[in-house]
Amino acid sequence: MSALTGPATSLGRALLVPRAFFVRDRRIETSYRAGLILRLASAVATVGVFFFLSRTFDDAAPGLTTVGVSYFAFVLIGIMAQEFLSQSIGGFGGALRESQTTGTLELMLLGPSRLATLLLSSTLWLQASAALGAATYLILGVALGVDLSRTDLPAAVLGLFLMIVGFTGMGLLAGAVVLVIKRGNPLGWALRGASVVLGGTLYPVEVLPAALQALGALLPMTHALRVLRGAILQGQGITELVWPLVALAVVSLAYLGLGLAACAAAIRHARTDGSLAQY
Amino acid sequence: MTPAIETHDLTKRFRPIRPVRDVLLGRAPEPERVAVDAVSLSIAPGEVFGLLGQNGAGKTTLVRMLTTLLLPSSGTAQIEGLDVTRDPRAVRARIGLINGDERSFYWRLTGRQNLEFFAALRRLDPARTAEAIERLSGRLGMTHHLDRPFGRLSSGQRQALAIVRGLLDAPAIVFMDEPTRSLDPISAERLRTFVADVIVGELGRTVVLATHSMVEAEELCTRLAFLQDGRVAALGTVDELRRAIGYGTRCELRLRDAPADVAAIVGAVAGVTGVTRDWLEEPTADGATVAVHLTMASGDALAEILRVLVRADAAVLACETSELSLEEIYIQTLGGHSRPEPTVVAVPAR
Repeated sequence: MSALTGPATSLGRALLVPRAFFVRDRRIETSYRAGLILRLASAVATVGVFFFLSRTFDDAAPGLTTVGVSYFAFVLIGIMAQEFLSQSIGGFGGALRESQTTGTLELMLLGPSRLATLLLSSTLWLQASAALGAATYLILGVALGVDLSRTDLPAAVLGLFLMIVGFTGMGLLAGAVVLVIKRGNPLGWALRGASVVLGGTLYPVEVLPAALQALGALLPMTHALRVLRGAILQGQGITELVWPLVALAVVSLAYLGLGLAACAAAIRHARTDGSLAQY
Repeated sequence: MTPAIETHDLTKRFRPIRPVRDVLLGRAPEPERVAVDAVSLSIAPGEVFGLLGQNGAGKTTLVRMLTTLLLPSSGTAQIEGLDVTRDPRAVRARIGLINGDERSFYWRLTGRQNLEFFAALRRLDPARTAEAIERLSGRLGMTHHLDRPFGRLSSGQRQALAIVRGLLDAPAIVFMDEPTRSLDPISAERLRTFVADVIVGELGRTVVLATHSMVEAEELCTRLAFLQDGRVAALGTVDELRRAIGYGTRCELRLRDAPADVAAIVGAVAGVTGVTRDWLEEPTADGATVAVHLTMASGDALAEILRVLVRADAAVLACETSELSLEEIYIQTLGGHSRPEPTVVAVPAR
């Protein structure tokens, strides 16, 4: 039976487009079997590197150990968030560019669906794939001794959701630039770099100069890591994390709005200069 | 009745990309390129309308504007009364596009998986999608190829899938942009038959066909527009286009006992646009057989020509007419050939 068959309820109708994108991307992704194996190997290597780094330097990070968090646990949440960021920015930009060069973008836009529906639907598999990657990191982390038993699930899930919203917005922003300049992903590179350097992925943002900390506050990564580390590693609930959650929501929604507007402008630009299917 | 498609002065100008160096050096930008220039068309529901023109004439640009993929620079275009710029989503719900571009599919997915994806984007529910895929694929002999990866299909099979994709939700207006571009003659003929029998015959859809194939245009189109440099150079049915160039019908007459001024006599008949004559035999006392070649706007003048020849006591031994093919009309209209002037050849003294 076809993966797209099912009851034609109104909910089913509303989910037709998101489901079609998800199924399409899952089918394409799983047709590259070597890619899946390489991703798993990469996750193992990354976790391994940070595990041994942590064993080397844990004593030098008293700021972390005093709150009961090892450097390995701290960085594990960082690389997990980075997995979402990479998929959102690199994956979406690449997919958009590919659809432009193959001519499928034009055919997608020829349907009666809203642009925002198409854009957000096209990120679903990327997020699911990132979630699988993140789960792999967490499983490997637990296997290497990270304690997740204190996790406050509602706060973690809410933080994760808002983080994905923000990263999706960043991906859309970067994708809009790709659509216009048609080469590379310069904004994506800048956003990813800024998130890693200023967002506290590999070290606490408190070690950064005040000016850089202020810049970091403009990134979803900074607030998302504060929420996720608090919820997953320290068992903090929504009430304890309310301000980082509010900050994360504001920054993420701003990026999402900017990203959607930028994509709409980029597609309008492509419809004006005839480059929707240019390569 | 609301036209299926209507355009008024529809124009598309492309601004050339300005290199950074030119901007820095303050060099004046190159002038805009006009791809479609003030095109006004009205296409009735159920018509099969052909767009013919050389490469770069503006066919694809016009189709892309009508399908909302490209924004016009000026002028208006309406699909079933809906403006393509102001109401693009409603327009998209009424149109289908079949192009000759094999790249616009996912090569790692099967034909069926591709069709399911594009059907969902057109908000077609799974049950109707499955039914439409089976029905249309069956008509195109594609049923057994649906579950093969798209990348392993032949060009003809890929094009058949593009046709199925364009018709999944039975759009009211179907745009076809060079649908047989990469097909061998037999596959192309099969697709033409499908278009004529199913899209036009059974479904009664309005079709806009942009093509280089004269065979395709002559076989399928009820009306045609010749585009040149973005403008409509000629518009009408094949007969109307033939008449418009003034010498669309040719006639060869074989005459005996023709008077000396036969060419002038025939040339004076209304509708005759050119006359030449040849001696076929050496003249004798009984006269000679001559061949008179005529060009006419249409065959309507033929009866009058025969009447004046009979009145002039010429014996008409044979009369053969032929019409310019669409390809000849196209070349004569767009190829820059000068229109032949009526020629009267003096008859040698007997």
